[in-house]
Amino acid sequence: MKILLAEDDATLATQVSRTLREAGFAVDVAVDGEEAAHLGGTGFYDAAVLDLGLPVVDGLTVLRGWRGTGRSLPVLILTARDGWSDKVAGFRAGADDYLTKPFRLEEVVLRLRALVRRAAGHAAPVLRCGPLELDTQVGAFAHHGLPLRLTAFEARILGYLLHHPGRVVSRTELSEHVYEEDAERDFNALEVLVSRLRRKIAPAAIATERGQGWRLLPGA
Amino acid sequence: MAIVARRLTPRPSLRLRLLGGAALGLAAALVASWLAIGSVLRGAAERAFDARLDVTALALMGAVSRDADTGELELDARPIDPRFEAPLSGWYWALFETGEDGQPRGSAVQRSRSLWDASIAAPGDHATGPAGEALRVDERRFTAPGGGGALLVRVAGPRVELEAAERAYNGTLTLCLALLGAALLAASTVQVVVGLRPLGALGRSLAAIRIGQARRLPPARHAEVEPLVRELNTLLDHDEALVERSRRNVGNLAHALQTPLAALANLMREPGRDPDGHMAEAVGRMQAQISHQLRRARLSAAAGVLGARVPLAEVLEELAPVLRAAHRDRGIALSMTVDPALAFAGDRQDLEEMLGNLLDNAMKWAATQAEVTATGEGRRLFITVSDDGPGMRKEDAVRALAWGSRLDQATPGHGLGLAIVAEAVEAYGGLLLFPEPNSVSGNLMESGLEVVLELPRSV
Repeated sequence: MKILLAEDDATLATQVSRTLREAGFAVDVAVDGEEAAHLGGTGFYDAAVLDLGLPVVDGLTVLRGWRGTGRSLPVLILTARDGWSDKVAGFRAGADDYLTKPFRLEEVVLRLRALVRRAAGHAAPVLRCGPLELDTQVGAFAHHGLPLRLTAFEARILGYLLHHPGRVVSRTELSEHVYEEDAERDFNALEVLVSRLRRKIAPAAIATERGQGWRLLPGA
Repeated sequence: MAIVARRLTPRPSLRLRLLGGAALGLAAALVASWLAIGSVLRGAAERAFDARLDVTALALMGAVSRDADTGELELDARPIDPRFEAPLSGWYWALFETGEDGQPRGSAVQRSRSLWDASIAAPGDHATGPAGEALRVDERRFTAPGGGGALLVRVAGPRVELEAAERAYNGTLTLCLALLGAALLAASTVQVVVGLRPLGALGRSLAAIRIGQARRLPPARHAEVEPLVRELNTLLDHDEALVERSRRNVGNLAHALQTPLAALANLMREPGRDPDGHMAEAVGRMQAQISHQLRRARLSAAAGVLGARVPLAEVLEELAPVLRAAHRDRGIALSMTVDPALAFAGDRQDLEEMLGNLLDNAMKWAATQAEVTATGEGRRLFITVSDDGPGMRKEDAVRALAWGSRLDQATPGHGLGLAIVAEAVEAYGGLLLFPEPNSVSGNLMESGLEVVLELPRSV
């Protein structure tokens, strides 16, 4: 799961991105509206955290730009303007949820997990595929009811697959959603990680569709 | 609340002033005309009267001759007008011999029958006849054929006839001038009323703006009113820009303060940074203070702006997705039953703030659902917000409403919304009504809370 964080305050951006990474998200940070508009308009993000008070181009304009060009990624707006009219304006521009500064960092994680889950078409907070489970409220994986111990990167991969069970996910698509923008993309490393996941769950859980990608199967 | 002193003395009316001026000018012109035309007519009447007397005098002069032998005066023909024959008719003539001084010598030598044995006084304003009637007298001096001394003929007619003529034409003249005056005054009235009509229209347009049916004055149709309309519209623009700028500044300030405070608060939560929690508490208080004061600033920024018409249902429709998103995880239903025709007379942001806070509060405490209904009575709007939550104890309501006045004891985030609502409601001269507390449980309602918001309505 990859998140675009658009926040100009360096301290706050560091705090939020660190918290999000700890919660298993890949995070790209944009420091002004222009960069946010560019990244959100071209990258593959599962959700965006958008500060409305961004320099260069303000957050509402960025959001309207995305919606105007058909970008439907869920957007959580952060605003210091806690008037209801500001919230209304945010929703009219196409926001899906908002948080008023000050906020608790855990709150951002909770809201984002809910947004990503709903955007992938899941109503219930717990995602299931056969014996596999992901409780999106706490970000915990389980297999046959037992907690799964995963590294942060493994969690990203399995999290994405669990949001799209039964569907073929190409290597390119998976890499877009688990690697941060400035990270080196390595398909071989991805293969290795998927293999490690198979060993931790069950060899048949993640099928390889030759030439296309991977698919999470409920059978195993 | 400021008390507006009403002026008890009637204001001078522009219409009355214009009409008064017109009436005064008209009256002066009409009186002058009456005097001038009257004097011309009087002169003409007098000349006509004198001409009649003169005709008789000339006839007499032509008819008189003196006998060469006896020196007696002879009258060949007497004037044929029968009025000179009827006694004391007021029409007289007399013939005199004159002395050296040109004045009649002795009594008349010949006279009209109407005169009996009386004489005719010299011409003058106060000449009177034998019956005491006022006379107008004409006299001529001449010498009769056949020689002898100079003669004087006097012919008199009754002034009463001249006066009758004068009365006749005076009546007609007065009537005509009065009619003319009335017609001119009516024309002036029409002119003033029609001419001042754009001012009345301007007043109505301003009233429409005040009650929120219009945002700006329509373009003036008359060149004289146009500068006024332009200036007023510029003033309205300026007013709106001022509010807008002030709100933007408040927003910028909020952003500038809350963002670093948010970072600071997050930092405080890291292990070991703030072991006893004092700093986090201080930061929390600062945030609450800033939040509250900025909200108040936004409200007061709206005060004094000419009201606008804000459809209630529209604002609720816009607030609904925000509220539903905020309470999505608890699955609280929000139902709204509001007549689309109901509108609030005031600022949109203020209404959003009041309804947003009340509904947010209701959904926060609701067990399954919150509800908004509204009714309008005359110029008042009654909005009822209810929920099926645990209700609210009286002292909690009092504390929540008093938050703004007791900032030093404030707990961040607690009851902040209600205090803002109360403040906004007060600014609009409205009411925030809580039902009577239940005497047994002390709760305002056994189950759920119902709050009624009374606000000015735009009709």
